[in-house]
Amino acid sequence: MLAPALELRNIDKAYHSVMALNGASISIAPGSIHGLIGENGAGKSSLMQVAYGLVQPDGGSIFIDGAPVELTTPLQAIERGIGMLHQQASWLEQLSVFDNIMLAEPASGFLFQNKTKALAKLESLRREYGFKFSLTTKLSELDYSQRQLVDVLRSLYRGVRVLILDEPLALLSSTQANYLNSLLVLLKMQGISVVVVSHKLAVLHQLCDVISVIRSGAVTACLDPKQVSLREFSTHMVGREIKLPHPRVEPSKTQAKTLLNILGLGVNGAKSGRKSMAHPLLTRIELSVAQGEIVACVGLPNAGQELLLDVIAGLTRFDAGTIDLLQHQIRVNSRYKIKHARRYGIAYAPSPIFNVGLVEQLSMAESVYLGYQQHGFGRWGFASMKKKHLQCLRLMKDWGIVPRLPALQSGLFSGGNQQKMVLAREMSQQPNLLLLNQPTHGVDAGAVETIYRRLFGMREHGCGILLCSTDLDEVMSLADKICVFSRGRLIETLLAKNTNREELALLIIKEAQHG
Amino acid sequence: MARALPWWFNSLLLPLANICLAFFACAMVLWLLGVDVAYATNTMLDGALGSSEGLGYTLFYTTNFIFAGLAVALAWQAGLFNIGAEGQALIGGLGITLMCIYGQSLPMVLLFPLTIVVSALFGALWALIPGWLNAYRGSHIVITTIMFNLIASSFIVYLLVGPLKAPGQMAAVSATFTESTWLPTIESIAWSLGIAIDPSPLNISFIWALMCCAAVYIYLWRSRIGFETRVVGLNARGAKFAGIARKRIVIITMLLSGALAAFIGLNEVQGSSHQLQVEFVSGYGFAGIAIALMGRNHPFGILVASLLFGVLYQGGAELAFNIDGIGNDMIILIQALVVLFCGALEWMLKPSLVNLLRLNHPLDSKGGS
Repeated sequence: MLAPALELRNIDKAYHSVMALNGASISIAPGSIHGLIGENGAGKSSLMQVAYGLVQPDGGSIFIDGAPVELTTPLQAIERGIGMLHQQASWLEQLSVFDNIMLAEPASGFLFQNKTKALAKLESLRREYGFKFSLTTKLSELDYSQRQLVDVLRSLYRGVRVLILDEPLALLSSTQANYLNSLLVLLKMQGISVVVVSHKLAVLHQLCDVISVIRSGAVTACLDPKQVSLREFSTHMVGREIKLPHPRVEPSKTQAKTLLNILGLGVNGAKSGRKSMAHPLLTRIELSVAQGEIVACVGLPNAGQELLLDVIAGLTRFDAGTIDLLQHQIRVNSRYKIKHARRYGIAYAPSPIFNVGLVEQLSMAESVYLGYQQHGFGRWGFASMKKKHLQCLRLMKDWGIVPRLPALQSGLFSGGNQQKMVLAREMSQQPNLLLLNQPTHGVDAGAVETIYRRLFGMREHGCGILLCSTDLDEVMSLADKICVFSRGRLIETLLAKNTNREELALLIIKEAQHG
Repeated sequence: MARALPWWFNSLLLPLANICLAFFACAMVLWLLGVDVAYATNTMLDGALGSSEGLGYTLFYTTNFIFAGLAVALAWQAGLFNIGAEGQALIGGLGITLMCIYGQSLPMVLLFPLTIVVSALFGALWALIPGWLNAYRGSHIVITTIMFNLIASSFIVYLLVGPLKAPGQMAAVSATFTESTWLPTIESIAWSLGIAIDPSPLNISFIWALMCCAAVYIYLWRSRIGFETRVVGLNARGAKFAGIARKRIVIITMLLSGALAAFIGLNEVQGSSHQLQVEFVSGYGFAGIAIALMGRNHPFGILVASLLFGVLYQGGAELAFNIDGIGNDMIILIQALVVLFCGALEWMLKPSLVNLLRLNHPLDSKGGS
């Protein structure tokens, strides 16, 4: 039998006295697709960061092709053929795909890179693996999941042998998952091993040759998806059975009172300073949300649904139309900002991909009041730290956010736990209207179940919910009404009970192609 | 089994080690110049801390450094690099001068609070213009504040050779204030309490500086507006999401920063020289940048760094006075070495110290993404 392409043995790692990894071992066979699942904060990302040389373990050893190695920097990992896609990568938006890739490459000669040779090699790789973007495209013109694919191309160019995908965004989007699947199979055929870290159990179950389960910092099981059912996986992961996809709950009553009513809403592209967008960003949007109704907006990335949330939340100005929220009338020239939105009873949990819901360097206790400063500080504008800590501890306990340390910087928590804190903060404001963008990205299946239950609970109390999600399973589980967006227009409004996942996916892709 | 670094490592041991290294480098330079290092050290420490007069001068300089450091640090917390403390202090000094000339009949209990308010107002307004330009017109705060330093100093020169010039004087200074407007020195207060100490320019603005330290701490870490200030400084997009108006924060922060810088004038103009001089700020505003850096933009760190700078300043003056071949350049060199090792190279010793003490804590890198 061949030696594993990458093996981590008994890895320990502690952050601020919290054990993130506790004797974790994983072995990646050459040319295999290896899934890695686990609850938020279980240590998935930490383990992969150790493999990529980003984090130095406190104990344990790393082997590549059976030989022990020490990885103290990502550069060493890259030289040994390990590549990684990050949850939040950084690109230079004004540069082309080619320049972004070449940026990190060493000079081949004395000072300069051999660009002609590199271009030819990259072009052939691009064709071989069927990447849809051209090498001269600017990064600003690509959506986030495509930008991650640029990273895949970069890894291939560097001769990657083990590619680590930490929460790939393409997997999140039901319409792009297929392409990623075929890409991974192609990689596998070339003898490249792929490690996929994700919460999309169903997708992993279908895709992977083997799936490792990580719990409280240790790998507790290594299972073959062909022999183990999807249900058993969720049991392995959280210790109880989770129904997948998450079951729908119908509202117990229908409420006629309209909460939010949008008429003829438009946002011009030019004014927002995005020159590449020749067409308006939003055109004549008509949409309403009733009390106790969950409305989902779907579409390809940049189709306008996410911008709509920003407009309703007062983060982006609009140029035409009206927004009526309960008795409040918001017009083009009303100086409507997010603080007014909050005053009117809107809560907004922004997409975790953009990293704006929390400020990394602030402690969790302080993050609880981000956006709600008036509640965090007393009449004279001064805070009691004790009160903040207690409030934070309560939310952490209710939402299962680990580690339960309010004084710790929020950026040190795992991505899923950060997102849980954002949701906890926004949902605990008891809003009239809740805006959610990719609410469960990076959140584990067990926690997703709880979040859905809370959302259904809020609906029962008359809260209206408007959400954007690229995960159609999520949309089908949650939504009462579905709005399909394409190129800044709302092209179709469907009742969830009259449609199904496949029809929806087809609609999104078809409309985008017709334009 | 790994442990987190003990709290004293970053906040006590590392700065201490850095200081030692800086002093070692200074000693090497002195040794190369052929100076008796032990004698020089003795002269310096004795001059700065050995007598009540020396200590008085040390704390007098410390007062200036505290105000300058706080001014830079407060702006830095909002992501603003205010290098205009120099000019804001000059204009603040102008306010104090006007107050002391036109308000000389007021009793000290009234005059001192009034000069505080007026100097704060003058400094704040001088900082307001760059602040407004940054908030509403996107001008770079570094450029505008440094230009405002030049404008301020030219303006003061104009006033001191013209309207404010003391009659019958050759030098560009204002008239000396009447003695009733001079800030009480600590020496005179101690004397009235029956304690005899040697005279020094140390005055009650030192106590005001300590109060400002506490106030800045409470402002930044306990108040709502301070919280919003830090959010703006840490993550502009996060601040927008949190509904914090960046423009408002920039304006308020620059006003406060300018006011803090202006208090240098309390100590120098009203407390010591008792007249407005062209060069009274003499680089304190710029030293504030180094102090804010060393004090990690935290009021208590700034207090410690200011004390250190006060010792260096006063001790260095003694050194230049007592030893041939050492001039003012040497003092600047020592300061530069301290800034280099404690500020710019602050993490240099960390890995070796961790290994040395077998704390076995690898560098915490959270992955640059």
